[in-house]
Amino acid sequence: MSAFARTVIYLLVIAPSLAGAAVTLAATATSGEVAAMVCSGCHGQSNDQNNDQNNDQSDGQMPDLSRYNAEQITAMMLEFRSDERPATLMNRLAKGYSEIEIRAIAEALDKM
Amino acid sequence: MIKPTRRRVLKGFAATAVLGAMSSCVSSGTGTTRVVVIGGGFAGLTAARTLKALDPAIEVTLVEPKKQYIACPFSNLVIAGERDIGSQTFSYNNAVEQGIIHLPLAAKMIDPISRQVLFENHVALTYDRLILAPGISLHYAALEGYSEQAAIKMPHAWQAGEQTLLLRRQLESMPDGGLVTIVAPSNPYRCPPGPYERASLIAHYLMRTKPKSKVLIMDSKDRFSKQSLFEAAWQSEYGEMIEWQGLSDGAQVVAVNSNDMALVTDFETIKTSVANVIPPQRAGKIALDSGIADESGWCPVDALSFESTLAPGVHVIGDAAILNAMPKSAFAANAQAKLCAVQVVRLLAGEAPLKTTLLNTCYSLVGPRYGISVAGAYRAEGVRWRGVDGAGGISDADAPTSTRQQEAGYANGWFDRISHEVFG
Repeated sequence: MSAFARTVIYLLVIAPSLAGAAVTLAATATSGEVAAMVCSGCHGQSNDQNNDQNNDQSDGQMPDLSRYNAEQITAMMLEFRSDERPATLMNRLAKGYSEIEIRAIAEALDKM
Repeated sequence: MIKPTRRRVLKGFAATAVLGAMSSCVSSGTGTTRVVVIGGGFAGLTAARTLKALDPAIEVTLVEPKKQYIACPFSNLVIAGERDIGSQTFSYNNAVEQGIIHLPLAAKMIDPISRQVLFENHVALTYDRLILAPGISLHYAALEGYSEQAAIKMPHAWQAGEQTLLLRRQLESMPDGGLVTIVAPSNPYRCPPGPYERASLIAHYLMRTKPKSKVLIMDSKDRFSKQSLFEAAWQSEYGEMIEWQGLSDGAQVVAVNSNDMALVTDFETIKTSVANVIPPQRAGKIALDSGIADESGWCPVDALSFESTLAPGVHVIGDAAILNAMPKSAFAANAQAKLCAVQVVRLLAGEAPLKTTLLNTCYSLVGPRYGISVAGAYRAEGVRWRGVDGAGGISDADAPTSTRQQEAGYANGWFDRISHEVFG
């Protein structure tokens, strides 16, 4: 039996067969929700157990955003944006968003 | 392109002679939406997993011949002897557990007309939408004397794995007082600050073990990413050990001779103990073979949807795509992949692509405890991704040592988090 045939059979047995469901969920995602998905590249996902092990910035982990509500994230981001709040990098990123975007991202993160 | 008559079409791996008796247990899958993702790196796997998370009903197939992925970010630490390559090595098990089908085969060609990915033995896989994330291919022919064979003596180490370990071993066996030369390509290429981080971390290794040695960077360009920060740090951390020569210095390498360990410019031939030759690059081979790359060797796309302007239904993300201001980095690939997954779902549902702002963050280690960064925010404007005015930029030039240490910590945090998100 060829490697490909073995692979296909393996996939047929193991892989779930999902049929017919409509594609709707992400079609309703907002711009703020999508922008908020990018944050986890550094901050991790809120359901990520790794985040619980180390929330101390001095040890090199970016803070777990699930610890903050939408108001807190908005306030911090606006302070980063105006350089009122010291940062190594977030001030450079926060300047990439409008205030409206910041609020939308913060609300999306709060819900995640 | 292979003629349709020669293909044996697999509809969702269903009816084929290969399967024979197995076919009875296969759902016909009528109405199932199929997305195929080619490439299991930071771009492709993020897209596959995001897509599956957004809508578990979509059948997501990851086409990736490798069983294990060895990450390029942080591989310069492996070269410097500061990290085990096992810490860089990930499997696709968690993606499979999530419900993604991992097809461990190399795709030969994409046929965007029939919406099929073609494999050996005339086997084909149909898709509703394809996400193409093949990364880079090394353009050996663009550098005289360089080849896959020559890369055994003069490793590129620009696709992590055996090449990374090869360069490490060459540094280990080099005598004190040797010359390590890094040949850096012109733009665009994977990981713009990578050659300079590598020079730094090699110097970090040599300072401690072979302090009479030198690191020479022979560059095909006159400016490079985070240049002012690197140059200041090289002075403060490594004295005169690292020397950079650019295009205007006549340092562009136009040919190599791996038998003589010689690097040739228009003006001279330099013999070196270790040659790390990072050649010009293009999009992954399947993009070139399928006509999805243009004459530049990279893949032009509609900015917002990442849909190829050459192949409708094919979305290109990561290093292979032309995304203008967005650099070819793992962070950018991860961000693009998330947006691309959303856009694919929207297009499948008949919705228009969504506008949003994307980010890039890229840390470089000058030493294990000395980090610097570049950041950017990007918006799709017409056909281009443009940097947002007033945002982004590099670390503060006057930052204290404590900030460099903090950024080195964040670099580690970034790698842990992103690798956990993508592969965990």
